[in-house]
Amino acid sequence: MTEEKPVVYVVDDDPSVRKALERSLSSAGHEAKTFASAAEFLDFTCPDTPGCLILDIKMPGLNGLELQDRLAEKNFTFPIIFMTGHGTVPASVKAFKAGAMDFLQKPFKDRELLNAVSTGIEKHRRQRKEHKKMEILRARLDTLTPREREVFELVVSGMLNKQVAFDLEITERTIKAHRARVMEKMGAQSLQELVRFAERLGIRSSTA
Amino acid sequence: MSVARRNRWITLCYLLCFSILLTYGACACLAQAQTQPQNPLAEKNVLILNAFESNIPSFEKTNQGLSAALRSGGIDIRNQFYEHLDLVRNPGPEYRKHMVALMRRRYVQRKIDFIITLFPEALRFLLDDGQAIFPDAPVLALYLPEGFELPKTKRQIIPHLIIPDLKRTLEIALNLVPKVKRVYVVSGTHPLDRWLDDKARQDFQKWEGRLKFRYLRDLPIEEILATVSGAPSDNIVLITAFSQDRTGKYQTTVEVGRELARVSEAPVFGFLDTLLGGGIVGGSMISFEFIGTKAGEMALDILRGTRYAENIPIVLEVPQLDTFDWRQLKHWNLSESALPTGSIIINREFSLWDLKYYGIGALAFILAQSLLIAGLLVQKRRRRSAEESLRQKSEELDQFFNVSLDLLCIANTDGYFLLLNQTWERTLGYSREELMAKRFLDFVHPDDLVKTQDAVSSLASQQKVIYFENRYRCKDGTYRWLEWSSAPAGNLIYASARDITERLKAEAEARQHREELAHVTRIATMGELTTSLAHEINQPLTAIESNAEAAKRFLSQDAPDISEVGQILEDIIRDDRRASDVIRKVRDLVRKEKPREEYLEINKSIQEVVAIIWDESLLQGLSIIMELSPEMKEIHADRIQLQQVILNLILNSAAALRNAPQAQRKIIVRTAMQDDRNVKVSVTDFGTGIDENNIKHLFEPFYTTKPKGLGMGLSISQTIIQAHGGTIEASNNPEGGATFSFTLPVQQGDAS
Repeated sequence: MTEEKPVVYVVDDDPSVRKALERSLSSAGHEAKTFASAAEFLDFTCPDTPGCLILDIKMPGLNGLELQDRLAEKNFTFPIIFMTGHGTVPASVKAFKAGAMDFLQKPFKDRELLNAVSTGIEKHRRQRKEHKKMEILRARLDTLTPREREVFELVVSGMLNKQVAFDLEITERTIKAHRARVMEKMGAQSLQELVRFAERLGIRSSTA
Repeated sequence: MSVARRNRWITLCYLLCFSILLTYGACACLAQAQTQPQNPLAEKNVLILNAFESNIPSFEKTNQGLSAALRSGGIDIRNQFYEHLDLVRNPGPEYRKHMVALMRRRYVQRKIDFIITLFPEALRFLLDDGQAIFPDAPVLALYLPEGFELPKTKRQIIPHLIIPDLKRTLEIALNLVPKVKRVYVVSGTHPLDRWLDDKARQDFQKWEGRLKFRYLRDLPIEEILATVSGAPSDNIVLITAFSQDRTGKYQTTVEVGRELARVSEAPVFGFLDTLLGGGIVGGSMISFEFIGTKAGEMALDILRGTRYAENIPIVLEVPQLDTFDWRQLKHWNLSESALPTGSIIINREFSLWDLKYYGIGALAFILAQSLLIAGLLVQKRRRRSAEESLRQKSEELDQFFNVSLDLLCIANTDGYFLLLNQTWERTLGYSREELMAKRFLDFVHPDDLVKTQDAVSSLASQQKVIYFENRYRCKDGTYRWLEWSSAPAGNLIYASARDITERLKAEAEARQHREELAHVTRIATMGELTTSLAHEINQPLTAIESNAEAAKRFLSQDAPDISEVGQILEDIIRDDRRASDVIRKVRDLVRKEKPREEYLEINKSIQEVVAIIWDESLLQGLSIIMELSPEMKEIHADRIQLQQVILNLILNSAAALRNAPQAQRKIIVRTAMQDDRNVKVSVTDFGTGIDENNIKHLFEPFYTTKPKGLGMGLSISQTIIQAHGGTIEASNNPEGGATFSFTLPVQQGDAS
């Protein structure tokens, strides 16, 4: 899979700030896309590429916080960097609790902006990679038969084959065969790796 | 000359005298009526308390003198109360008690303004028994003996002491009758008689060697008469006083005097003017009527309150009068030329027969002369009355001139003061001589010279009245502000100036207080706007930083896009100006600066204010709608203060909309010409409106409905608008919310 070009989205009602940020980002090698209002951004469909959102907390109409809420409803995954002004501490706290990644207090240094943007993009990239891995694991999990799923859950809970066989009232040999298939289907090289996959997928033995 | 002829002479003469009297009298009455237009003493009551009974001739005379004098001063006879207490004949407390009761009955309802007592007994009665009835009226105490000590009291008491001079009568008698050998001195045995007799014996000692004195006090009246009747003509008889002889027989001095004169072979002289007309020659006499007249005149003076200073003790002194009976002079063949000058002669008879030598010519001359004199007298009287009224007017004006708190002066158009009142000395510290020694312009502040000179030249050209202000230098080098009102009269300037230094100082202080308060309020208002203002500045600063860093990076590229960098620099400059503009606007509003009135377009001022709070209003979801009339005339005002008012009104409206639904969250700022001379600015919101009960308190200091409000905003707004000559008011809109509006006068005439 080739690395996709990240995009930095900027929402600010102030045209001169918007223009300056766009210049700064593009001069630093980022692709920047600017919006004059929250509504304008909501109408836009972001391509499936890594990136981050720089959002002015104070805006006429829908403000930064309200936009954050709307985006959360739409399963928007881009990290959000808020630009705040003087005396907006309560708003910042609220934004932070809602998952904001960073805050830049105007007037901020260009370096701070670029650092935050890099961190954001990197974070988004990792998120996307993680997301992809999970999707593979889930797909593999879906290939397990109900009996293999039962064996998987009990094995990762730390039970011995003998105990599993006793629990499921089948022979230990049959258990061994299921286990080998689970390992194969899930792509795990060792029991430890299988346990890690289980943890990622949130699988826990119901009998443990 | 026949009897008939003589009668014709008499008739002619009487006619002449009658006509003169008639003319003069009529004119005198007329003059009197003119000079006495009103009578301030008309309602004053005077009480005369006599210790004796009412029918004693000497006191009747005093009463006559008193009564006439009081009436001449405007105190009517019905306002004069004569009481004869008869205390001497009725000693003892019982009688006094009755007398007090009687006095109370008579006077308790009346206000007595002045009391005259006759004899010490009457004075004591007044002070001891009558104090409650007549508590505080001033008293003139007549007929007090020499050396009488006044009782100590807060009441004003003016004493009149009887100090008889018996020597003078003797001196005069000796001049008239040069060859006198012996002097008979007749007195009674009553204490008063004895007192006078003793006085005579003492006074006459210096003649003891030259004359023989025979004092007849100790003889019964019959013997006295017998002694005197046998006296040779080179003797004289002196009667002092007589009420009672040695045997206790009562007889008045007048009766005894008449008897003496009838039987005496020698001329009789006396000391009491009641004796006159009863056959005595006369003497230097105590005149009872004259005492009354003088007492009455003094009572009038005290009642008018004019003549005496309070701290100088007043005493009534009445001189004796040299008075003689013309008939007795003739009878004893005594020469009138031997009398002292100024003597009064009574009972003079003119014998027309004596005048025959003067003839008709003399009479005609007298007639003409008399008419002339009468005319002159009338004229003189008129002139004197005019002069008197002029003098009174002039005195009144002098009084006003000197009591005025204002600085009054008369100056000439050459620039010198001619007359100044005392206030000048008090105000400037110079003496009037110093002020008059120089041209008055020398005292004027150099900066005020031009306008003062202008005023003087306007006055010199007889322009009616000039009002202006200038500063005068005080002796200590400081200056006082004077406000002038002047009027010209020929080459004179009549001017009145008022020292308004303190007033101007107070006004300046009030103005400074207002400015400081406005300043503090502005700072407080700006405090409310810090968020918005910080945003306003941070926006361009953020843009500048990013633009500059971007430009750096563009330039470090292999093929820099110079035109892009140029564009960036343009933007940086624009943002820098934008930030500076905000700071300048804020600084203007917060800076403590002397108010500076300038010509303003009110719409522009409003737009500037709205620009500052635009952002803040957006944050609150408010929209500010400006409906500004293009027809607005220029005003002359302090921009910052005016913008403070507008800002305050908009912020108040914003506060009123805080909890209003989104649809109502708008503020309308309107301008319009109220009329030709006034602009009107109104700020309307659609919020909660004003509680009708509080509408009248809105503009009071410290009145606020905001939780964190100072309560100064509207108060200072009102102060500012009023200082600019405008009005401010608040009202609720019929459709909800409130409207605050103010008016300001437009700049009149040419604005350049």
